[in-house]
Amino acid sequence: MIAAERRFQPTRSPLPEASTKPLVLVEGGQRGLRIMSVNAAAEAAGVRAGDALADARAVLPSLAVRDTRAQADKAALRKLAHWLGRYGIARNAYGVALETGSGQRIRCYGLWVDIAGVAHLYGGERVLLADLAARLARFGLTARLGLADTLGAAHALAWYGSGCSIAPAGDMTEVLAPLPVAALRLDRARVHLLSRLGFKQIGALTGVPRLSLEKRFRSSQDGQRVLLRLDQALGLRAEPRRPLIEPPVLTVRQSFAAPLISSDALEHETAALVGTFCTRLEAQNVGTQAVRLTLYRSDGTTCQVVAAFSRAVRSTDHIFRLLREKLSGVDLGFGVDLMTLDAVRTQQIACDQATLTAGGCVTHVGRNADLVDRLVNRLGSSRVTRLAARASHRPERRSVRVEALAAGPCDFAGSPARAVAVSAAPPAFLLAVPEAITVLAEIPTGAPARFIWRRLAHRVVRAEGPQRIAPEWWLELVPGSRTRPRDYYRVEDDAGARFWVFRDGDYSSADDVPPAWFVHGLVA
Amino acid sequence: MDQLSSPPIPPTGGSASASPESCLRSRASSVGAGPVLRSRICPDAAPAFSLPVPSLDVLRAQIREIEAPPVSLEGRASTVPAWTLGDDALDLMLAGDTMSAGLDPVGVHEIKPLLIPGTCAAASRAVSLGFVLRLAVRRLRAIGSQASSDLAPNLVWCWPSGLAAEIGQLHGPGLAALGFDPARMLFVETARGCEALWAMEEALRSQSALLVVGVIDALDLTQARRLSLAAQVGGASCLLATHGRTPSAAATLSRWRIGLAPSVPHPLDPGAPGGFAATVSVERCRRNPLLSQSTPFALEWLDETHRFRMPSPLAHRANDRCRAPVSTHTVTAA
Repeated sequence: MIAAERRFQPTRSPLPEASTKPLVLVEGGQRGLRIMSVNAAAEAAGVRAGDALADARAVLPSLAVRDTRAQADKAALRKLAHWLGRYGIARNAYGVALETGSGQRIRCYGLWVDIAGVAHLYGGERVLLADLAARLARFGLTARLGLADTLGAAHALAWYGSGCSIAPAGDMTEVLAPLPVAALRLDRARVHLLSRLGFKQIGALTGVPRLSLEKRFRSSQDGQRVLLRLDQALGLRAEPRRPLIEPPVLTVRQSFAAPLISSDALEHETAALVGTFCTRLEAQNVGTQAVRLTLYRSDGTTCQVVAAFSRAVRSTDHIFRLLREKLSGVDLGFGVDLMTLDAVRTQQIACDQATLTAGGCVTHVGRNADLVDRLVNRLGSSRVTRLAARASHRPERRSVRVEALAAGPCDFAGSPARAVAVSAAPPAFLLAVPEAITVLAEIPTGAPARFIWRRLAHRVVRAEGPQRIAPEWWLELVPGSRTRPRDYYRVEDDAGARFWVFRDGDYSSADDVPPAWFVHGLVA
Repeated sequence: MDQLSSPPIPPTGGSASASPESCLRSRASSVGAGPVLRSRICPDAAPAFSLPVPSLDVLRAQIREIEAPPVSLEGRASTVPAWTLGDDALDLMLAGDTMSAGLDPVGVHEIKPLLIPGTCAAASRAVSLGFVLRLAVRRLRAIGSQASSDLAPNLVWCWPSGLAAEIGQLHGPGLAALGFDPARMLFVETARGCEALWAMEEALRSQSALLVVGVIDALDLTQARRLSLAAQVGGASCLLATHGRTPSAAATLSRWRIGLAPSVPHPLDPGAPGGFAATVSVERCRRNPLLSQSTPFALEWLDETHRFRMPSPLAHRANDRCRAPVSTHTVTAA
């Protein structure tokens, strides 16, 4: 395992002459303005991060000063971490508290990337690191790189090494020996403690037997911590890492000598990549449920296109079709020089019968799943729905809309709709919220003779009812809930329009709220 | 038989399906390093006199050719059942000179509400959608015996998300009472007209939906033509419920205008509303252009048999030719 690290330098500026002028970023604190970050020119002039701005001004009066923008810096770091995916799938940003020469502590950030099995694609680790350094330099970033078997060792090399150092594979002891103990990612108190005990360098720690080393600390917690960090750096103990994204099951990648800038070329290359991808899926006898196409732009940004499927697929046409629809909206920027296609989730699937015609699927179910995929990927899953039956007395709760992707029983066969006569069935169109109407009706149980709905008067010529729908008994147990029986009427006005109206409540009950009338549906 | 004979087999498998991979290989080999490159070069370095071994891709392509059934559009068209309305006289009038009674099963039909000032617009829209629903029931029931018994959706219903607030959501038990299987309907809510047209076109082309219903406000000639082409590609039927005030599209096979009518008298209770009834006028019918000059007529729906019925003999006057007695209403296409 190799990790590459860089020190984050948030002083990136689009103007080349600006990068040659000394610039610092400051942040207000209890003791006035503190320098949080410096660029290369300022560092060369002797300004260090953690100094007070007043001191730095005395050293270098021509210093340019800007405010720190922590949020924007973090976003930029995250973007860069995404971009690092071109060197390895597992990568992330991390933060460490760094002790400056003047005793100040500032929080610094680094990036790690796991390049196991990748270096040979670039022609070796040294070439890979040079490539990374060159690209970062092109972005205007000064990077300190370290490459080692463990994350701890790589961190130590990057922050305290020569700036671009590679540890030979194998034992890390010799590489780490000349580095200061602060490189072990220990906090300030423990570094201080170690230096008081006489351990200035990591080599001094490794020379002492473990047992006696632990005994030298007053609290066993300190000893355990130092040993843990030492073991992690040496690779004796595993260190859990949290990558930026969940590592995909399968990845195929394609890099280009010249960046792609036309969408036609991008489409063509995507088709070729999907072809390779599906061959690999077929070889493993799996299908993918979601794919992620990542485009690495040459200016250090990335762009992701995600497509999800309702079932596991490995049909080239289908995957490419869904990706192509989303590719049209992608901004290529200054060109794409690398693209990767990941299978986010996979599942074992049986072999599909191939067909000669376009489209891919033979079965009706397969074609239908393809259609649902296309609709969902363009319109969103909440807008492609099916109806599902629910057990309830209330008509508005008996039929709910569920996402088409969610597989579940949608059976209306067991619902009472089949049992009752057609004329007593609820209408095909039901208002989601019943709308209140003004009604002229005979009290207590008469059908409406006239009603006003949406500011339009309707004279009822024919009516049928009432059909009583009582609330569920358990709703009456809930204190404070207004559950009243509803009397439904099917009415027809003089123009021929038919409505399903109901009276909420009963005149005979001791309820102090008078019954109210509502339109609930249109009988179509 | 020429195309069945095996194509010349390249030594390393250069079939069409392997071309993206092989082009990737050539590019990767220029970047890649030692061990990867070596394993890929190996097949090329085989001695020239060895027998050519057909690659797996070539063999698969051959099996695919043998197994695939002959694709013929004629064969599929002849198996499409007729889309009748259930009333013999009306079906014959709609058929015109063709041999299949009723509506043309492959194509786009437009249904518009008849808006009369002073009446409830939502109710007019609902009655036209009720007519659409009943046409859809007849279509699905006609194909139902032939279609596979899986539970995948066979009806795609596209409509704007705002319409549900106006006339209400489609209700499962109500649809079941009409004769649908609500579990086999797929609903697509769209925000804009172009999205609805795209979704309908995809559904029509996909060959998975038997019937596509689109509720949209307006469409122009090009869009209607696109839909009818998609319907022909997929062999599916399409019903368009458009708004009453917008100009009608000319590329549809038929156009209906549906108005409110007093319901059928209830068989048991004279004071109760009965079954579905509507005033119908056929504004356009490509198979029988004379029908567009007919007067509006009443049409009733029989819930028990899922058929339309013309209660009055007025429609017979529209076209004298249709008086000839014909017994069958399901005529198979030639």
